[in-house]
Amino acid sequence: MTDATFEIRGPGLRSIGKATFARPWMFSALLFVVLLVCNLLVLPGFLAASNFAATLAVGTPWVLAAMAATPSILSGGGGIDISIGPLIGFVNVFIIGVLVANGLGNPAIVIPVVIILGVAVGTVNGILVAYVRLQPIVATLGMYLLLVGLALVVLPQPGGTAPAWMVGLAGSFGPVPGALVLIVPAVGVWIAIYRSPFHRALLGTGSDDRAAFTAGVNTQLVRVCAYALGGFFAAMAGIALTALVQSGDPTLGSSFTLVAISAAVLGGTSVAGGVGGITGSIIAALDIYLIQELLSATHVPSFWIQVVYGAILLISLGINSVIRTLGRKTQ
Amino acid sequence: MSGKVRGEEVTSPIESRALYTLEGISRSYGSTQALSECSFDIRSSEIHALVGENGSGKSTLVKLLSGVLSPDGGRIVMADGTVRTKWKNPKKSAKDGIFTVFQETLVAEGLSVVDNIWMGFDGEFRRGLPVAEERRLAANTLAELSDNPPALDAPTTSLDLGGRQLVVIARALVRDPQLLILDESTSALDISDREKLFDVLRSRRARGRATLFISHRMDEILTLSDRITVLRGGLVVVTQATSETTASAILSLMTGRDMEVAGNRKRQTLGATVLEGTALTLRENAAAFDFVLRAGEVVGVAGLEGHGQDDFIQSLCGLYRPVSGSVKSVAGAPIRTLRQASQLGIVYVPRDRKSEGIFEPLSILENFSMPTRSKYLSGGFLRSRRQRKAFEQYTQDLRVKYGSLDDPIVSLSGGNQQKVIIARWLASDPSVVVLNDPTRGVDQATKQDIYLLIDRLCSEGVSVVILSTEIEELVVLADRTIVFHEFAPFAELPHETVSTRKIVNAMFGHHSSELPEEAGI
Repeated sequence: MTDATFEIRGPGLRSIGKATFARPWMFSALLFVVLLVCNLLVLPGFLAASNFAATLAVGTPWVLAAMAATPSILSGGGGIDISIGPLIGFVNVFIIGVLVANGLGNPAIVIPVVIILGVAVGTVNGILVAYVRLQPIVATLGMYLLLVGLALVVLPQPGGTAPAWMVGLAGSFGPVPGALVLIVPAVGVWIAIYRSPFHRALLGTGSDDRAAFTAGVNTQLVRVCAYALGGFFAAMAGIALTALVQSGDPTLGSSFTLVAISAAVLGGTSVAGGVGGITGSIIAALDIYLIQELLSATHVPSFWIQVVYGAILLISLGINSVIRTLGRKTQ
Repeated sequence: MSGKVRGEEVTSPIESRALYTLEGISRSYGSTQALSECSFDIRSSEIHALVGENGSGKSTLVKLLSGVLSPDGGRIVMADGTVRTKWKNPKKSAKDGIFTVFQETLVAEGLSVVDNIWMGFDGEFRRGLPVAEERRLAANTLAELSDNPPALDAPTTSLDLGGRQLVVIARALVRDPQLLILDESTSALDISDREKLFDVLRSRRARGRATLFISHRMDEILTLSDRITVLRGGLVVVTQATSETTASAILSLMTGRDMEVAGNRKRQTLGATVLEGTALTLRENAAAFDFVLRAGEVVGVAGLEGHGQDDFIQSLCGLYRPVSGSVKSVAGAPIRTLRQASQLGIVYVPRDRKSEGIFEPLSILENFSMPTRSKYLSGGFLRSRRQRKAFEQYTQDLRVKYGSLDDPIVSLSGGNQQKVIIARWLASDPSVVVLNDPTRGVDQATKQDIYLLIDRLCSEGVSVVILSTEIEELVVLADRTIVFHEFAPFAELPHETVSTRKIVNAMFGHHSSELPEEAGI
């Protein structure tokens, strides 16, 4: 009898493992469904049309930050970009403290300038990693400190007001939630990359850079592009954050780094590189967002939120890792 | 890159012309000259075998041709008269028609079979071929290579070593390079896949393409190749038509003359058995074998890179777990971990001094006493004077030259570092010493000191197992030499009758008795 139960349970777990191994984002998707149900039970109006756009807008900077963290990790060689949080924060104060303050709040100026800024910062990170051969964590830590400092130089005190057009980004344009105006192009860029040979070169470099190099991949250029792409997504996240808070705050950015990297890993991207993708990161960012929503909705004292949030993250990552190991073994 | 990947099959022989002419190619690593003034040509419509012992410069030459390394000197003249002094990276060398399948199976595990095959073919952002065309060519190539090819969309993590090797070979073949370099890249293929690969190589030859073929199987080399280039000690010894030579002639060209054996040591009468390996199997499908080590014996271990000799000596000290079989001390205690081995007095001196031997930031004395520190403890504190005394005892024997014991170990020369590492392990009074290539990259004087030490050890009844890539030293030192081929001992050569040539023959899977004795070169 017990044997029979085991026979059913064993392969069941293993096939989940196999499925998550083939699709690294699967675990975060299952977690998403569970969390969504919990949220709906606690807050029946959670997804109501009336505040759906606002709910989405709160989650958007997280989603874009998680996307920003992913390409550098995928590129392997210990790849990681911890400067994305401060970059998001710097974009925020740059929009408020530099562009808007000088009357350049027009979207036709703000959006391209900020994207160029993000890509430039990412490119510098990539050059430091790929050509100067600094360890990624050291190179991007330097960039982290630099951006945190610069943000305070640009806007020493929280303040300022976002341009009017940004209100829509945090609300809606007619029936369309404003957040989608940022998420859809970002996802579009990723889809284009996914279908291009760059994706193959990126995962190849991340899995085994010697294999990629000897097959003819320019692994250094691929890594620079990965960090630049992270910078692009971080710039989008910075716009989303500015739209959400409607002002500038030099202290906001740093916290995004850890959330973004946790989301990337929870979404199935391997810290060893070469395995994973942005789909998982997006879903996992929503997971983390739902966890926080759930905790505040159930009136967990605010200082416990961090503890519970960290514990849930550790447990989820642990389960994810165990399942994936099982999946690998059955192959 | 052009979209045209495979030409039409041409059956009529094409006139052979030089595709790549190497002129005086040289390369050194630090003070080691890996290749000096290599000159030979690779022609169209030929399969060109490159043979040589370990360390003869084959792999260096392959890396130079494929753009992984740059030569220090010399040039390569191509068929159209273009001259190259180097290729900056493999992509550049691929543009000039050269593509290499390396010895290690370099697959990117995060990618599927078809993505692994085409990785690096396109530009960074522009696809080289439409997806459908990629899939068709990859499927055709894999089908040519195997009756049971891996699925195009299978993750490479699901493939065994043979499957992975098919993928990296297919990666080269879909590009249809002017010159295909196969660097011992058939070892994991099964017999039928290997035959299919050879058919593919022959059809390449019929289309005018060149293949540079490196293999450790003399039979393959003789049946497949048109010409053979022999490398020895970084020099091209000869390039000749395969039809004009024989296996034994090639083997003696590879080894040169048997070295004069100087300072032959006194043979000990062997003591009791100290270590016993029973039915050891190093890989699935490899032959099982027994091994007995006796007190005071020096056993030499040789083999071409990757034929199981490393695994074997590591299994003696618990670092490698054989697929089946067991290693036991004479008392019957099993040896499964390094800790068990060291408790039984078996010590292992690793090959890669830099990564496995020394602690770079620490001093000479700390490096010496690291594993035996408990001997110098008193009341929980290290007794520095006791350590120093012990160390000085060994350094006299080994003639280590150093300034102060507190100098960092990296201040010593490579040879002296090696002596400190050996002294470290001798300080634990071992009964069995396993040495993994102890004289690699050390000077002649240090070698002599190490040889003398081995002599002294076995006169004290210590048993020594020494893996060496310097075949001459096995001839001099070992009471018997076990030569590994394909993960099992191929020959066991007693000291009385051993010669460099016999060892090399066995490394390449040839029994010396099959070969007529003939006078050197």
